[in-house]
Amino acid sequence: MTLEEKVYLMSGNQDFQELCDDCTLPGRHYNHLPYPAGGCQRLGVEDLRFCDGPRGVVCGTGKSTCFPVTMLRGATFDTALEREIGRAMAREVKASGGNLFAGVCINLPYHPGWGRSQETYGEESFHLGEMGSALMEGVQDEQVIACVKHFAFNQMEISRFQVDIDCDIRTEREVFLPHFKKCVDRGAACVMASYNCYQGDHCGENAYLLRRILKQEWGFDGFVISDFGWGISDTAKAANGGMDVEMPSTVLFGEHLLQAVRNGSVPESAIDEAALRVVRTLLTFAQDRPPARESVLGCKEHIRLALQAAREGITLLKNRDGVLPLNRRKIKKLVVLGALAEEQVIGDHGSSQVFPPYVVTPLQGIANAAPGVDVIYYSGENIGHAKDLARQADAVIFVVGYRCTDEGEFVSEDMSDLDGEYPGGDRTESLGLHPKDVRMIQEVGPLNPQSTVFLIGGNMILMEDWKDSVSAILMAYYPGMEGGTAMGEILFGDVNPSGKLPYVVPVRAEDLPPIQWRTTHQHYEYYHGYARLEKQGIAPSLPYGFGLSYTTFAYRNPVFRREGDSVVAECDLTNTGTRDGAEVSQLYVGFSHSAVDRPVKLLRGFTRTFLKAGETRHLEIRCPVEELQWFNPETRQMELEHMEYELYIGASSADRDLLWGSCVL
Amino acid sequence: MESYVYEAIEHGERCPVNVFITSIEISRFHWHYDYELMLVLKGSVAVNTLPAPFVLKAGQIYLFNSTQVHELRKTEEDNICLFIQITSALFRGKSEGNRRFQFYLNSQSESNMPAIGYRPFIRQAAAIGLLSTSTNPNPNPYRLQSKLYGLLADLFEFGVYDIHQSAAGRDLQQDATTLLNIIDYIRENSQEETVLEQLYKHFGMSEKTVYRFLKDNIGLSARELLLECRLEKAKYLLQFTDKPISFVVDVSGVGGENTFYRVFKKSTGLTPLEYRKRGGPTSGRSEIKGYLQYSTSEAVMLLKKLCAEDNNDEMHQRTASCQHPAGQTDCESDDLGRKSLSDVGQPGLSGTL
Repeated sequence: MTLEEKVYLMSGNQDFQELCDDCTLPGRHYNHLPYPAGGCQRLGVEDLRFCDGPRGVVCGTGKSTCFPVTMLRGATFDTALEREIGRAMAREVKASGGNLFAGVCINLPYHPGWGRSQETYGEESFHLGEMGSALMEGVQDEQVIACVKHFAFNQMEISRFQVDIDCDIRTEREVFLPHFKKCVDRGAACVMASYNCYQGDHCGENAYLLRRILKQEWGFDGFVISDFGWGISDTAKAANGGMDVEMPSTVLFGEHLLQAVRNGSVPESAIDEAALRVVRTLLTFAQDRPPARESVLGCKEHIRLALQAAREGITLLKNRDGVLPLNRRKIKKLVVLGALAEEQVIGDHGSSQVFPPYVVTPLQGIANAAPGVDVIYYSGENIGHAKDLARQADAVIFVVGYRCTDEGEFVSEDMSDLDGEYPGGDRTESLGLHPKDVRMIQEVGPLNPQSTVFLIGGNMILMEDWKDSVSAILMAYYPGMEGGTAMGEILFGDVNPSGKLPYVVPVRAEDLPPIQWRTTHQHYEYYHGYARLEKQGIAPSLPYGFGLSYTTFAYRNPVFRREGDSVVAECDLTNTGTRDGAEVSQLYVGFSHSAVDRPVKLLRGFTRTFLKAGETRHLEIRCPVEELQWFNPETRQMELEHMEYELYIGASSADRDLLWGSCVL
Repeated sequence: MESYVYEAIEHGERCPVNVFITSIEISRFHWHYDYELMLVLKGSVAVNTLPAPFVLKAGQIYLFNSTQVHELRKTEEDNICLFIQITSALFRGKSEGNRRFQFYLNSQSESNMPAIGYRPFIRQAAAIGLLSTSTNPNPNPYRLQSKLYGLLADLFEFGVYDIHQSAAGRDLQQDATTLLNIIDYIRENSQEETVLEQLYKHFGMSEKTVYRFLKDNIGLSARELLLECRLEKAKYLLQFTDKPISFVVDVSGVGGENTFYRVFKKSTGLTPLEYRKRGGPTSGRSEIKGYLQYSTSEAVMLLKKLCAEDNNDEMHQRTASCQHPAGQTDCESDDLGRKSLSDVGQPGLSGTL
């Protein structure tokens, strides 16, 4: 391979004007066709053909399956289902003409206000790693290259192009990197670097992150691609820093990179290494790649998976006096309030937007689930009318929360001129509902004894100022193209909800770590999320891992022990209610005996079990001892503290939901 | 149920709307698929519909929803009303065959006030009325459509409305056909004692299904609908024939003479004999005939007045609309409104004044 050929492998072939046209011309959209990069015709090396995600394949219009957003799938705690979804997405990537899928987003929302939280699985590193690697493995099962993104420290949207993140070494290694490492350990073949800076350097040209940690320490053997357009800023720095492929167009690589090699500012060995990584990966994945016909796009089986995820992920947060499920035979008139009920609540309109053949809205889904019921929708604009309707109805459903103008991908404030919509970005103002929705719930909710709120959103929504005004609350996230169907089924009890919160719901926003959304610098503290609240002794509104069911579960006879290189928690789990249902059981490990500052406890295992009413099963959750390590700044490595660890097993992170014991390691 | 006395304005296929001006004497309980906007130009009209009867006065507006059962009656004062009948197809997208829009536009009521008030609706309705009067011999169908769509836009943007959503796959058009068939069947066979039993058999629907279906669609049970049909027939015979009352009782199918008297009195407030002597529900029939000859110019004058009243209201409207979150659009609709004012001064119209 000539130097020119090798350099050609290292950047995107997407014409920039073409890319702009995609985003502005009617009938097209961002990534409506895969974006090509590299390739070598002479030697028969295929090009990379990039398809974005992560709630399905972005390419095409009216074809691909729109799955629930990643956050909802995080709430399923179902790694087997996530792997199946990965396979389905990969088949659709191939059917769209792609071979590289950027659907594995595992950034940790340091603060739930992050506008793109919906694209990731939740606040907990262990859970992120397990769910993300399950998707990655599913994608790669189909011989499609999975791209894990955005490496790293990318959890602020508005300032993503400018912000420089710093944190101490323990925060870096224990909180923000382990989930990336897990995906790399399990075989991820591609990593996308993020836009932001880490400790002064753009992540796309950050030798510490890309060369030292990712490639040397973790032994990553795949290739690194840049985030789009603004991912790198300096040819030599990027190439030397470990960037293998500039995306999606050739701007700073190509001729500039050749020049840099010729004038000695980039050693040819760096080019050789990048070329080797790209070609090696392509050859591996081109082998025996099962083909996929176009007919797999939005096929029955894939849509069934999307529905299954919505059924498992939607989370029941409150159910006063068992008001849910609604009884079809007793409900004659059902009122649905809130404009989101009528909308396609599938999530952001940024790079993750999928264009499915259809979307079942919440309203349609609820009406479908209750063919004999008079289902009346009203936007809620006029409170007086909403009240009249609520008084006359047998039950009231509020569908409230966010749309892409409230949270989502953000390029600049000027973007609002392009499509007339204000760009989402981070939730800088409030983590609660819109004031008019709060007022509607407060005034209308108490008028009907069977009142339920469905929340639509990508991450935690504060509930304190209205939660007592209604009987039941469900978090529906952005539940995908069949989300309305799942909402209807859950409302009427055809499906028993089993999702669990992949984040903590605090009482007040002040309980979360301080953050400046519009900034050029942000420090990340060691504690965030439930670990932060527990450490500070602050009771949450709802704990991490919380979610109700229409049945009840009892945990009994716990046993905790060490077995080889694992800690094991066992117990009997009984469905003590009258309905069949699934339960997500969680293993936490506590560090109260630590000699250093460590969290009270951390999630270190989970499993999902389906139990018929009255059925009992024996549960066993294992966790490798390695997962209990901390990063010792003095020795600069992960180490196991030899001490007594508390082990907990139960239904959520709250003490009242856990059985516990201990284990000496 | 063809009980309107009306002056039809034909606009051909280019406008999905039927506009007419009339004086209401009585329009007995009826319904239609069209949405129907009613603007009282003069006097007042008693409106009998769910949830409660009320009187609509001059300058007030009301929107009857598709399939809403209603009855209109003259009050003590003479009236002139504008009706705008809008096909329900305009309210549905292609894939929306399984939903029905129900509006709450009633300027007589305090609740459910549109975010921009009633004024723009009254103004636009009056403008549509002006474009459609017989004094305007060659109405521009596109102008009329633009007014109509302007009004619909305001209705959807600022009006209060619900959507009755059915399960996917259920087609309300299909339901509409079924409904018409059921009603026709009842009307044609109302003298049969067992008409309902025959109906269930004929349509292959259970009594319960028919009950729910009718209640959902027109708010009446099969039994109530049957009684309405039978009374209609009886009233017709009383009013327009000399058939003996015993014959009327027999043919109506309402039951024995005693039952018939009781039910008839309850419905009309009159005994059958009194009804016949009066020549119908009220005695003002000849005046209506006269109305058609003299009222057109009066109606045009009233319509112009309703448009012109706006000038005084404009300031008030503007302040009100600025408080609305979507203030920008409000102003646009005000602009539309002002345009409609200038439209009124078309040469064809001003010539008739």
